[in-house]
Amino acid sequence: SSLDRLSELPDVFRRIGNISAMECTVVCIDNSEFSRDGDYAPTRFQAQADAVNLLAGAKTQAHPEATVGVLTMSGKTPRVLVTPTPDLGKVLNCMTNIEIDGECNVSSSVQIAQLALKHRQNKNQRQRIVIFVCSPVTEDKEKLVKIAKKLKKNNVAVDVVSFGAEDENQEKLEAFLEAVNSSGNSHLVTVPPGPVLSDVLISSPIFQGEGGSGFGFAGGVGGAGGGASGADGFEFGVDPNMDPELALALRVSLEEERDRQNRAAAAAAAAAGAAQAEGAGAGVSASAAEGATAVAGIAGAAATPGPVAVPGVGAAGVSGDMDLDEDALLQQALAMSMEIDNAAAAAQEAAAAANDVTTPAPTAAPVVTPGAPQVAVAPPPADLDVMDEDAELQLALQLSMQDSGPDNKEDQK
Amino acid sequence: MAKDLLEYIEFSTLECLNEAPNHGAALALKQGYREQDELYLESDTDEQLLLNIRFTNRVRLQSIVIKATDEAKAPKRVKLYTNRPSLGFSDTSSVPCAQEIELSPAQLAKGDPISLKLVKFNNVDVLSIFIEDNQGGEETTKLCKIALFGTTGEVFNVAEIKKVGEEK
Repeated sequence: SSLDRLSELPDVFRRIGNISAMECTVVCIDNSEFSRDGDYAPTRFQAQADAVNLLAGAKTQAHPEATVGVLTMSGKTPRVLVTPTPDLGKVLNCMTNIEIDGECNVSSSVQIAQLALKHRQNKNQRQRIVIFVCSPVTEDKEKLVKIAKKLKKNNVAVDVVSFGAEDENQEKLEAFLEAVNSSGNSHLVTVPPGPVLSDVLISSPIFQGEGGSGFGFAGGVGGAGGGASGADGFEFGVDPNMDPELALALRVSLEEERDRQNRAAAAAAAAAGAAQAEGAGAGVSASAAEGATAVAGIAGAAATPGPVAVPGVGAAGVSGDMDLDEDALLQQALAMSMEIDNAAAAAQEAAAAANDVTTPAPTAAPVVTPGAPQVAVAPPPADLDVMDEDAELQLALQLSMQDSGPDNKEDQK
Repeated sequence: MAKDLLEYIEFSTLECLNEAPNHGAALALKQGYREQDELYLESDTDEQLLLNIRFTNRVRLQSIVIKATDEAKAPKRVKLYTNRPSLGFSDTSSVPCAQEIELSPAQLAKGDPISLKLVKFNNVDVLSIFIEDNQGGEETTKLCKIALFGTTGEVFNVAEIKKVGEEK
């Protein structure tokens, strides 16, 4: 399994992988009668289910060992539908079988969630509960604060999503949040009717998390939305189960690129930025085979997008940013894989280009060696301006997917 | 002879449940920090604290020092558990402790070493220190130093292996 293979990666990657905190999250769902209401399209319950699916996806993608569990708060008793698991499929499956019934019992649910967290397999995981509330909370404020203090004492962070009964619950939930919050690890997001619940959540701290761990996922969603229908919706357009090394390499390059972009965010905008962002979104999904000159072009392209990508950050709007980062990180990943086979040539290129984008790449390159996608050796770079950015990306992705073909057979057990 | 086990404490995995945000366990344990009384460990939501300390080597604990300057908030009953990684507050009532100590104000003020039952602390990988309450029944507990003394497991020195029976 991909988790086993994680141990094959060099220590550096494992350490870097811990940038986004490794968490065990238990999601508490409000499946009370109140969730039938259609004020959030199509129903409160369905909007919630969509958000939970996205959240579970984001958490499991952010860290390979993250686990997510689900429990329902209404009905005769709160029930754990899925004990914390890294398997996104199980979570998505259980969401389809939920019945709407009764009223929520928040205090019991939180107790049960806490127990589920306590019995998590990996004790190194941080503990988090995410509670969706769309019905009036019956517990009084004092009781909620008492529960919150117990959670804080046991180092459990809590995110609360309040929608549907926001006004009634606001005071109680605010008191709850204040009591459970420890140095900003907990959040309360109130969503008024109107905007799509999932959209609001994606840009909230609940997804963005610590160190922007949700950021990459948001980028994936933005790219998939803007791109062709072929997008599989996975972060970076690569299935981490098929190719964990590449997924991890891409995530590392995203982190580095984000750091670099933060520093260069003030750079002047260029018109090419916006167009490039759109092209990247489509390029992730589709694939096209091209000649060796295209391969050569990639090495050079990886060196050049720096000055172009940077202005793109400034130029493009909020949605454009997400696509651009995906693009930038893909290029960085490509640069890294090119480095392995052609370290000297690429290093020279990087030096010649005197460019930030590739400077992180050479340092990462020697470490990426085991199992990283092997791309064909590049002949001297061709005329880059002629190459379509989009086409280069498509080719590179296609090549790396092909090259990890033999790896896939190993992975499928 | 008993030595300070500070260098064997694994700070990366150090966990202290219910510690206040800016008054964490590191301030009581780390070199330099623990000597300064103004840098203290304090509890958060109530008066209890639970430290889980992992060691890089297997150690034999011989004594513990706990120093506190605030008399009323100083720890009173302390329970020590061995080799229970990720012990939680709810476990403290069900899991048997290796030793229970009741600290006196004199011990706390001077930071006297308190001897431990050697048999129970022979092979310790993880030490959990559960501070149950404080001297004055205050809402929070404060302490400025925790030090652990003992020896590390005998290191097998390969160079000491001598050939037997062939000396001529």
